[in-house]
Amino acid sequence: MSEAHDSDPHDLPSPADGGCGDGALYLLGLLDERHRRMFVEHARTCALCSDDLAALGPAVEHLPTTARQVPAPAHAKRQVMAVVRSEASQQAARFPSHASQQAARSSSRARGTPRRRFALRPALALAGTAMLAAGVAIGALSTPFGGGSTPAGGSSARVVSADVTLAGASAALHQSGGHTWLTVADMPEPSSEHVYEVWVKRPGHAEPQPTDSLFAPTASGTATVAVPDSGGANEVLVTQEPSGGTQLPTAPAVIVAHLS
Amino acid sequence: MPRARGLHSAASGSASLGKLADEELMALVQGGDADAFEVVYDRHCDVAFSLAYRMCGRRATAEDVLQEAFLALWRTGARYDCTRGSVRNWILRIVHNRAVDALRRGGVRDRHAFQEEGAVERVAGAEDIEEQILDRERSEEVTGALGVLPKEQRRVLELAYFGGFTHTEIASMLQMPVGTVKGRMRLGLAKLRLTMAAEEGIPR
Repeated sequence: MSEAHDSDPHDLPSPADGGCGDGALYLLGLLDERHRRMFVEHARTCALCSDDLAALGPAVEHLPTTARQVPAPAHAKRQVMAVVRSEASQQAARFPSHASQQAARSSSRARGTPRRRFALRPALALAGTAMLAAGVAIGALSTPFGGGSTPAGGSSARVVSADVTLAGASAALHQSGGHTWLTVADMPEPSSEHVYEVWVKRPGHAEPQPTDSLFAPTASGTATVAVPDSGGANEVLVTQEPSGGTQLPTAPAVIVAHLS
Repeated sequence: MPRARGLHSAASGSASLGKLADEELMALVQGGDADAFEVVYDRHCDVAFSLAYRMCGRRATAEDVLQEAFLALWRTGARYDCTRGSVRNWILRIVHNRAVDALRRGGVRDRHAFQEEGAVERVAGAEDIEEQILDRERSEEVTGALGVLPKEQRRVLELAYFGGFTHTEIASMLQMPVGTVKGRMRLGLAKLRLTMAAEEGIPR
Protein backbone atom coordinates (compact mmCIF):
# COMPACT_ATOMS: atom_id res chain seq x y z
CA MET A 1 0.00 0.00 0.00
CA SER A 2 1.13 3.47 -0.69
CA GLU A 3 3.04 5.29 1.96
CA ALA A 4 0.76 8.17 1.18
CA HIS A 5 -1.93 6.87 3.48
CA ASP A 6 -1.42 9.65 5.94
CA SER A 7 -3.67 9.84 8.90
CA ASP A 8 -4.04 11.87 12.02
CA PRO A 9 -1.74 10.16 14.52
CA HIS A 10 -4.40 10.51 17.17
CA ASP A 11 -6.68 8.23 15.22
CA LEU A 12 -4.17 5.49 14.62
CA PRO A 13 -3.63 2.53 16.85
CA SER A 14 -1.38 3.26 19.75
CA PRO A 15 1.60 1.09 20.63
CA ALA A 16 -0.18 0.30 23.87
CA ASP A 17 -3.00 -1.67 22.28
CA GLY A 18 -1.28 -2.52 18.99
CA GLY A 19 -4.35 -1.37 17.13
CA CYS A 20 -6.65 -3.90 18.73
CA GLY A 21 -9.95 -3.95 16.86
CA ASP A 22 -8.56 -2.39 13.69
CA GLY A 23 -8.84 -5.53 11.59
CA ALA A 24 -11.18 -3.85 9.14
CA LEU A 25 -8.74 -0.97 8.63
CA TYR A 26 -5.94 -3.45 8.07
CA LEU A 27 -7.91 -5.49 5.56
CA LEU A 28 -9.03 -2.41 3.67
CA GLY A 29 -5.43 -1.26 3.40
CA LEU A 30 -5.96 1.88 5.45
CA LEU A 31 -3.04 1.48 7.84
CA ASP A 32 0.32 2.96 6.96
CA GLU A 33 3.34 0.70 6.99
CA ARG A 34 4.32 1.31 10.61
CA HIS A 35 0.85 0.70 11.97
CA ARG A 36 0.29 -2.20 9.65
CA ARG A 37 3.32 -3.96 11.06
CA MET A 38 2.20 -3.11 14.56
CA PHE A 39 -1.23 -4.57 13.95
CA VAL A 40 0.13 -7.74 12.35
CA GLU A 41 2.33 -8.29 15.37
CA HIS A 42 -0.60 -7.66 17.68
CA ALA A 43 -2.98 -9.95 15.82
CA ARG A 44 -0.63 -12.87 16.27
CA THR A 45 -1.48 -12.99 19.93
CA CYS A 46 -4.95 -11.43 20.03
CA ALA A 47 -7.74 -13.96 19.54
CA LEU A 48 -10.31 -11.22 18.92
CA CYS A 49 -8.35 -9.61 16.10
CA SER A 50 -7.30 -12.95 14.67
CA ASP A 51 -10.95 -14.00 14.50
CA ASP A 52 -11.83 -10.64 12.95
CA LEU A 53 -9.31 -11.12 10.19
CA ALA A 54 -10.59 -14.59 9.42
CA ALA A 55 -14.21 -13.46 9.41
CA LEU A 56 -13.88 -10.18 7.52
CA GLY A 57 -11.15 -11.13 5.06
CA PRO A 58 -13.45 -12.92 2.61
CA ALA A 59 -15.77 -9.91 2.56
CA VAL A 60 -12.93 -7.60 1.52
CA GLU A 61 -11.84 -10.09 -1.13
CA HIS A 62 -15.41 -10.05 -2.42
CA LEU A 63 -15.51 -6.27 -2.85
CA PRO A 64 -13.83 -6.18 -6.30
CA THR A 65 -16.59 -8.33 -7.72
CA THR A 66 -19.18 -5.72 -6.74
CA ALA A 67 -17.77 -3.48 -9.46
CA ARG A 68 -19.35 -3.78 -12.87
CA GLN A 69 -17.27 -6.15 -14.93
CA VAL A 70 -15.74 -4.40 -17.93
CA PRO A 71 -13.55 -6.27 -20.42
CA ALA A 72 -9.94 -5.17 -20.41
CA PRO A 73 -8.94 -3.48 -23.68
CA ALA A 74 -7.00 -5.64 -26.11
CA HIS A 75 -4.29 -3.08 -26.71
CA ALA A 76 -3.41 -3.14 -23.01
CA LYS A 77 -2.49 -6.78 -23.32
CA ARG A 78 -0.43 -6.15 -26.43
CA GLN A 79 1.58 -3.51 -24.65
CA VAL A 80 2.08 -5.53 -21.48
CA MET A 81 3.09 -8.64 -23.36
CA ALA A 82 5.52 -6.73 -25.58
CA VAL A 83 7.36 -5.58 -22.46
CA VAL A 84 7.11 -8.99 -20.78
CA ARG A 85 8.47 -10.83 -23.79
CA SER A 86 11.33 -8.41 -24.24
CA GLU A 87 12.29 -8.77 -20.59
CA ALA A 88 11.95 -12.54 -20.82
CA SER A 89 14.34 -12.49 -23.78
CA GLN A 90 16.74 -10.38 -21.81
CA GLN A 91 16.58 -12.80 -18.91
CA ALA A 92 17.05 -15.71 -21.26
CA ALA A 93 20.17 -14.10 -22.65
CA ARG A 94 21.55 -13.67 -19.13
CA PHE A 95 20.70 -17.19 -18.05
CA PRO A 96 20.76 -19.33 -21.19
CA SER A 97 20.37 -22.70 -19.49
CA HIS A 98 17.39 -21.47 -17.51
CA ALA A 99 15.53 -20.46 -20.62
CA SER A 100 16.78 -23.09 -22.99
CA GLN A 101 13.37 -24.63 -23.46
CA GLN A 102 11.74 -21.32 -24.21
CA ALA A 103 14.50 -20.61 -26.69
CA ALA A 104 13.82 -23.94 -28.30
CA ARG A 105 10.22 -22.93 -28.76
CA SER A 106 11.20 -19.67 -30.38
CA SER A 107 13.83 -21.18 -32.63
CA SER A 108 11.37 -23.69 -33.96
CA ARG A 109 9.20 -20.81 -35.06
CA ALA A 110 12.02 -18.79 -36.58
CA ARG A 111 12.75 -21.55 -38.99
CA GLY A 112 15.23 -20.95 -41.72
CA THR A 113 17.14 -18.23 -39.93
CA PRO A 114 20.04 -17.47 -42.23
CA ARG A 115 23.54 -18.45 -41.28
CA ARG A 116 25.04 -15.24 -42.58
CA ARG A 117 23.05 -13.27 -40.06
CA PHE A 118 22.71 -15.76 -37.28
CA ALA A 119 25.74 -14.51 -35.38
CA LEU A 120 24.47 -10.96 -35.37
CA ARG A 121 20.98 -11.57 -34.23
CA PRO A 122 21.48 -12.55 -30.58
CA ALA A 123 23.57 -9.46 -29.96
CA LEU A 124 21.02 -7.27 -31.62
CA ALA A 125 18.18 -8.88 -29.79
CA LEU A 126 19.93 -8.47 -26.47
CA ALA A 127 20.71 -4.84 -27.11
CA GLY A 128 17.19 -4.26 -28.24
CA THR A 129 15.52 -5.83 -25.29
CA ALA A 130 17.88 -4.12 -22.90
CA MET A 131 16.99 -0.74 -24.31
CA LEU A 132 13.32 -1.53 -24.28
CA ALA A 133 13.44 -2.64 -20.68
CA ALA A 134 15.55 0.32 -19.69
CA GLY A 135 13.33 3.08 -20.85
CA VAL A 136 11.43 2.81 -24.03
CA ALA A 137 9.01 0.44 -22.41
CA ILE A 138 7.85 3.29 -20.25
CA GLY A 139 6.79 5.16 -23.32
CA ALA A 140 5.09 2.13 -24.76
CA LEU A 141 3.14 1.69 -21.56
CA SER A 142 1.68 5.11 -21.40
CA THR A 143 1.19 5.52 -25.11
CA PRO A 144 -0.94 3.05 -27.00
CA PHE A 145 0.23 2.12 -30.45
CA GLY A 146 -1.09 5.37 -31.69
CA GLY A 147 2.02 7.40 -32.17
CA GLY A 148 3.22 10.56 -30.53
CA SER A 149 6.16 11.48 -28.41
CA THR A 150 6.72 10.17 -24.94
CA PRO A 151 9.30 11.49 -22.54
CA ALA A 152 10.97 8.74 -20.57
CA GLY A 153 13.04 9.46 -17.54
CA GLY A 154 14.08 12.84 -18.75
CA SER A 155 15.64 11.56 -21.97
CA SER A 156 13.83 11.85 -25.24
CA ALA A 157 11.98 8.67 -26.13
CA ARG A 158 9.61 8.49 -29.04
CA VAL A 159 6.95 6.04 -30.11
CA VAL A 160 5.95 6.07 -33.76
CA SER A 161 2.97 4.15 -35.01
CA ALA A 162 3.39 2.10 -38.15
CA ASP A 163 1.07 1.25 -41.02
CA VAL A 164 0.43 -2.48 -41.16
CA THR A 165 -1.25 -4.23 -44.06
CA LEU A 166 -1.82 -7.50 -42.20
CA ALA A 167 -5.33 -7.68 -40.79
CA GLY A 168 -5.45 -7.30 -37.02
CA ALA A 169 -1.73 -6.76 -36.60
CA SER A 170 -0.14 -3.64 -35.17
CA ALA A 171 3.38 -2.32 -34.93
CA ALA A 172 5.26 0.58 -33.45
CA LEU A 173 8.77 1.95 -33.56
CA HIS A 174 10.43 2.99 -30.33
CA GLN A 175 13.33 5.41 -30.46
CA SER A 176 15.55 6.36 -27.58
CA GLY A 177 19.18 7.38 -27.24
CA GLY A 178 19.86 6.99 -30.93
CA HIS A 179 18.51 3.44 -31.01
CA THR A 180 15.39 2.20 -32.73
CA TRP A 181 13.32 -0.89 -31.92
CA LEU A 182 10.32 -2.36 -33.61
CA THR A 183 7.56 -4.05 -31.63
CA VAL A 184 4.78 -5.96 -33.33
CA ALA A 185 1.60 -7.53 -32.03
CA ASP A 186 -0.86 -9.99 -33.50
CA MET A 187 1.45 -10.71 -36.40
CA PRO A 188 0.82 -13.94 -38.29
CA GLU A 189 3.67 -16.35 -38.76
CA PRO A 190 5.47 -15.89 -42.06
CA SER A 191 4.84 -18.43 -44.77
CA SER A 192 6.80 -21.64 -44.78
CA GLU A 193 10.50 -21.11 -45.44
CA HIS A 194 10.07 -17.36 -45.02
CA VAL A 195 10.95 -14.77 -42.39
CA TYR A 196 10.16 -11.11 -41.85
CA GLU A 197 12.99 -8.80 -42.84
CA VAL A 198 13.47 -5.23 -41.61
CA TRP A 199 14.61 -2.54 -44.04
CA VAL A 200 15.51 1.14 -43.73
CA LYS A 201 14.95 3.70 -46.44
CA ARG A 202 16.84 6.96 -46.68
CA PRO A 203 16.00 10.12 -48.62
CA GLY A 204 17.47 10.06 -52.10
CA HIS A 205 17.63 6.27 -52.26
CA ALA A 206 15.16 4.56 -54.54
CA GLU A 207 15.42 1.21 -52.81
CA PRO A 208 15.42 0.40 -49.12
CA GLN A 209 18.57 -1.02 -47.60
CA PRO A 210 18.56 -4.38 -45.81
CA THR A 211 19.32 -4.64 -42.09
CA ASP A 212 20.48 -7.62 -40.10
CA SER A 213 17.10 -7.95 -38.41
CA LEU A 214 15.13 -10.99 -39.47
CA PHE A 215 12.40 -12.27 -37.25
CA ALA A 216 9.41 -14.51 -36.75
CA PRO A 217 6.82 -13.57 -34.13
CA THR A 218 6.07 -15.63 -31.06
CA ALA A 219 3.06 -17.93 -30.88
CA SER A 220 1.02 -15.01 -29.59
CA GLY A 221 2.10 -12.88 -32.52
CA THR A 222 4.51 -10.54 -30.75
CA ALA A 223 8.13 -9.69 -31.45
CA THR A 224 10.64 -7.04 -30.47
CA VAL A 225 13.58 -6.47 -32.79
CA ALA A 226 16.29 -3.88 -33.09
CA VAL A 227 16.41 -1.70 -36.19
CA PRO A 228 20.14 -1.18 -36.74
CA ASP A 229 21.60 1.52 -38.95
CA SER A 230 18.45 3.59 -38.80
CA GLY A 231 20.31 6.89 -38.57
CA GLY A 232 19.18 9.22 -41.31
CA ALA A 233 16.40 6.89 -42.37
CA ASN A 234 12.99 8.33 -43.07
CA GLU A 235 11.19 4.99 -43.29
CA VAL A 236 11.43 1.58 -41.70
CA LEU A 237 9.81 -1.26 -43.62
CA VAL A 238 9.18 -4.94 -43.07
CA THR A 239 8.69 -7.44 -45.84
CA GLN A 240 8.29 -11.18 -45.92
CA GLU A 241 11.30 -12.79 -47.56
CA PRO A 242 12.70 -16.24 -48.15
CA SER A 243 14.67 -17.70 -45.25
CA GLY A 244 18.05 -16.07 -45.06
CA GLY A 245 16.76 -12.73 -46.18
CA THR A 246 17.46 -10.89 -49.40
CA GLN A 247 19.41 -7.84 -50.49
CA LEU A 248 16.40 -6.29 -52.22
CA PRO A 249 12.75 -6.64 -51.30
CA THR A 250 10.93 -9.34 -53.23
CA ALA A 251 7.50 -8.62 -51.76
CA PRO A 252 5.44 -5.56 -50.82
CA ALA A 253 6.03 -4.11 -47.37
CA VAL A 254 3.65 -5.36 -44.69
CA ILE A 255 4.82 -2.73 -42.18
CA VAL A 256 5.80 0.84 -42.96
CA ALA A 257 6.78 3.39 -40.32
CA HIS A 258 7.57 6.97 -41.25
CA LEU A 259 10.29 8.52 -39.14
CA SER A 260 10.03 12.02 -40.47
CA MET B 1 6.49 -22.68 -4.28
CA PRO B 2 7.65 -25.40 -6.67
CA ARG B 3 10.53 -24.53 -8.94
CA ALA B 4 9.54 -23.59 -12.41
CA ARG B 5 11.84 -25.79 -14.42
CA GLY B 6 10.25 -29.04 -13.45
CA LEU B 7 6.89 -27.84 -14.53
CA HIS B 8 8.13 -26.17 -17.64
CA SER B 9 8.94 -29.33 -19.51
CA ALA B 10 5.53 -30.73 -18.74
CA ALA B 11 3.77 -27.58 -19.70
CA SER B 12 5.15 -26.67 -23.07
CA GLY B 13 2.61 -25.16 -25.37
CA SER B 14 -0.21 -22.79 -24.65
CA ALA B 15 -2.79 -25.56 -24.50
CA SER B 16 -0.91 -27.31 -21.71
CA LEU B 17 -0.39 -24.08 -19.86
CA GLY B 18 -4.09 -23.42 -19.95
CA LYS B 19 -4.70 -26.54 -17.91
CA LEU B 20 -2.43 -25.48 -15.08
CA ALA B 21 -3.69 -23.92 -11.87
CA ASP B 22 -2.79 -20.31 -11.17
CA GLU B 23 -0.31 -21.33 -8.51
CA GLU B 24 1.51 -23.62 -10.95
CA LEU B 25 1.56 -20.89 -13.56
CA MET B 26 3.07 -18.49 -11.05
CA ALA B 27 5.88 -20.96 -10.48
CA LEU B 28 6.59 -20.75 -14.19
CA VAL B 29 6.30 -16.98 -14.17
CA GLN B 30 8.86 -16.97 -11.41
CA GLY B 31 11.15 -18.74 -13.85
CA GLY B 32 10.60 -16.07 -16.49
CA ASP B 33 8.03 -17.90 -18.61
CA ALA B 34 6.22 -15.24 -20.63
CA ASP B 35 3.71 -17.74 -22.02
CA ALA B 36 2.66 -18.73 -18.50
CA PHE B 37 2.32 -15.07 -17.60
CA GLU B 38 0.08 -14.54 -20.61
CA VAL B 39 -2.29 -17.23 -19.38
CA VAL B 40 -2.43 -15.59 -15.95
CA TYR B 41 -3.08 -12.25 -17.63
CA ASP B 42 -5.91 -13.64 -19.73
CA ARG B 43 -7.58 -15.21 -16.71
CA HIS B 44 -7.59 -12.16 -14.52
CA CYS B 45 -7.30 -9.07 -16.69
CA ASP B 46 -11.03 -8.38 -16.85
CA VAL B 47 -11.70 -8.41 -13.12
CA ALA B 48 -8.51 -6.42 -12.57
CA PHE B 49 -9.52 -3.82 -15.15
CA SER B 50 -13.01 -3.65 -13.72
CA LEU B 51 -11.66 -2.88 -10.27
CA ALA B 52 -9.28 -0.25 -11.63
CA TYR B 53 -12.04 1.36 -13.68
CA ARG B 54 -14.44 1.37 -10.74
CA MET B 55 -11.84 3.09 -8.60
CA CYS B 56 -10.32 5.52 -11.09
CA GLY B 57 -13.46 6.36 -13.04
CA ARG B 58 -11.42 7.04 -16.16
CA ARG B 59 -10.68 4.45 -18.77
CA ALA B 60 -7.20 5.75 -19.59
CA THR B 61 -6.16 5.81 -15.93
CA ALA B 62 -7.60 2.36 -15.39
CA GLU B 63 -5.58 1.07 -18.33
CA ASP B 64 -2.42 2.54 -16.87
CA VAL B 65 -3.20 0.93 -13.53
CA LEU B 66 -3.90 -2.41 -15.18
CA GLN B 67 -0.62 -2.35 -17.06
CA GLU B 68 1.41 -1.20 -14.08
CA ALA B 69 -0.13 -3.90 -11.92
CA PHE B 70 0.51 -6.76 -14.30
CA LEU B 71 4.06 -5.65 -14.99
CA ALA B 72 4.58 -5.53 -11.24
CA LEU B 73 3.20 -9.05 -11.11
CA TRP B 74 5.64 -10.12 -13.80
CA ARG B 75 8.61 -8.49 -12.13
CA THR B 76 7.81 -9.46 -8.54
CA GLY B 77 6.19 -12.83 -9.15
CA ALA B 78 8.83 -14.44 -6.98
CA ARG B 79 7.23 -12.80 -3.97
CA TYR B 80 3.96 -14.64 -4.44
CA ASP B 81 3.29 -17.05 -1.61
CA CYS B 82 0.45 -19.46 -2.28
CA THR B 83 -0.01 -20.07 1.45
CA ARG B 84 -1.13 -16.46 1.88
CA GLY B 85 -3.95 -16.40 -0.63
CA SER B 86 -4.98 -16.97 -4.19
CA VAL B 87 -3.25 -15.53 -7.23
CA ARG B 88 -6.44 -13.69 -8.10
CA ASN B 89 -6.62 -11.93 -4.76
CA TRP B 90 -2.93 -11.12 -4.93
CA ILE B 91 -3.39 -9.51 -8.32
CA LEU B 92 -6.40 -7.56 -7.13
CA ARG B 93 -4.46 -6.29 -4.14
CA ILE B 94 -1.74 -5.03 -6.48
CA VAL B 95 -4.37 -3.37 -8.67
CA HIS B 96 -6.03 -1.82 -5.65
CA ASN B 97 -2.77 -0.42 -4.32
CA ARG B 98 -1.83 0.99 -7.71
CA ALA B 99 -5.25 2.53 -8.15
CA VAL B 100 -5.06 4.17 -4.73
CA ASP B 101 -1.69 5.60 -5.69
CA ALA B 102 -3.17 6.87 -8.95
CA LEU B 103 -6.07 8.48 -7.12
CA ARG B 104 -3.73 10.21 -4.73
CA ARG B 105 -1.57 11.42 -7.57
CA GLY B 106 -4.74 12.74 -9.17
CA GLY B 107 -5.26 15.18 -6.35
CA VAL B 108 -7.70 15.74 -3.55
CA ARG B 109 -10.10 17.80 -5.59
CA ASP B 110 -10.58 15.03 -8.10
CA ARG B 111 -11.08 12.45 -5.40
CA HIS B 112 -13.63 14.58 -3.63
CA ALA B 113 -15.87 14.05 -6.60
CA PHE B 114 -16.37 10.61 -5.16
CA GLN B 115 -17.74 12.07 -2.00
CA GLU B 116 -20.09 14.39 -3.76
CA GLU B 117 -21.47 12.35 -6.57
CA GLY B 118 -19.84 8.98 -6.67
CA ALA B 119 -16.85 7.67 -8.55
CA VAL B 120 -18.72 7.75 -11.79
CA GLU B 121 -18.68 11.53 -11.70
CA ARG B 122 -14.91 11.53 -11.90
CA VAL B 123 -15.44 11.29 -15.61
CA ALA B 124 -16.22 14.98 -15.76
CA GLY B 125 -16.89 16.24 -19.24
CA ALA B 126 -16.32 12.88 -20.85
CA GLU B 127 -16.58 13.17 -24.57
CA ASP B 128 -16.38 9.54 -25.39
CA ILE B 129 -19.86 8.17 -26.00
CA GLU B 130 -18.90 4.62 -25.13
CA GLU B 131 -17.49 5.75 -21.84
CA GLN B 132 -20.62 7.71 -21.04
CA ILE B 133 -22.78 4.68 -21.75
CA LEU B 134 -20.59 2.48 -19.61
CA ASP B 135 -20.72 4.98 -16.81
CA ARG B 136 -24.49 5.19 -16.95
CA GLU B 137 -24.79 1.46 -16.77
CA ARG B 138 -22.34 1.38 -13.95
CA SER B 139 -24.21 3.95 -11.92
CA GLU B 140 -27.31 1.80 -12.07
CA GLU B 141 -25.66 -1.13 -10.42
CA VAL B 142 -22.91 0.61 -8.57
CA THR B 143 -23.85 -1.01 -5.33
CA GLY B 144 -24.11 -4.59 -6.56
CA ALA B 145 -23.70 -6.97 -3.66
CA LEU B 146 -23.09 -3.99 -1.43
CA GLY B 147 -26.75 -3.20 -1.84
CA VAL B 148 -27.57 -5.48 1.07
CA LEU B 149 -25.86 -3.09 3.44
CA PRO B 150 -27.43 -0.13 5.20
CA LYS B 151 -26.58 3.04 3.31
CA GLU B 152 -24.24 4.42 5.95
CA GLN B 153 -22.20 1.21 6.08
CA ARG B 154 -22.07 0.92 2.33
CA ARG B 155 -20.95 4.50 1.99
CA VAL B 156 -17.93 4.21 4.26
CA LEU B 157 -16.87 0.95 2.60
CA GLU B 158 -17.16 2.43 -0.87
CA LEU B 159 -15.25 5.53 0.13
CA ALA B 160 -12.53 3.44 1.75
CA TYR B 161 -12.15 0.62 -0.74
CA PHE B 162 -13.11 2.16 -4.06
CA GLY B 163 -12.41 5.79 -3.21
CA GLY B 164 -9.04 5.19 -1.61
CA PHE B 165 -9.83 7.48 1.30
CA THR B 166 -8.47 6.88 4.77
CA HIS B 167 -10.78 6.49 7.73
CA THR B 168 -9.78 9.94 8.98
CA GLU B 169 -10.55 11.51 5.62
CA ILE B 170 -13.92 9.79 5.57
CA ALA B 171 -14.66 10.97 9.08
CA SER B 172 -13.88 14.51 8.00
CA MET B 173 -16.02 14.24 4.86
CA LEU B 174 -18.99 12.76 6.59
CA GLN B 175 -18.49 14.86 9.71
CA MET B 176 -18.57 12.03 12.14
CA PRO B 177 -16.14 10.63 14.71
CA VAL B 178 -13.39 8.36 13.48
CA GLY B 179 -14.63 5.68 15.83
CA THR B 180 -18.00 5.73 14.12
CA VAL B 181 -16.36 5.31 10.73
CA LYS B 182 -14.32 2.38 12.00
CA GLY B 183 -17.41 0.79 13.51
CA ARG B 184 -19.41 1.12 10.31
CA MET B 185 -16.61 -0.38 8.29
CA ARG B 186 -16.41 -3.37 10.56
CA LEU B 187 -20.17 -3.83 10.73
CA GLY B 188 -20.47 -3.48 6.97
CA LEU B 189 -17.84 -6.10 6.28
CA ALA B 190 -19.35 -8.44 8.84
CA LYS B 191 -22.79 -8.12 7.28
CA LEU B 192 -21.38 -8.58 3.82
CA ARG B 193 -19.65 -11.73 4.98
CA LEU B 194 -22.86 -13.06 6.49
CA THR B 195 -24.71 -12.37 3.26
CA MET B 196 -22.04 -14.13 1.25
CA ALA B 197 -22.18 -17.11 3.56
CA ALA B 198 -25.94 -17.29 3.27
CA GLU B 199 -25.80 -17.15 -0.51
CA GLU B 200 -23.13 -19.82 -0.67
CA GLY B 201 -24.80 -22.00 1.94
CA ILE B 202 -21.74 -21.80 4.15
CA PRO B 203 -22.27 -22.30 7.89
CA ARG B 204 -21.58 -19.04 9.67
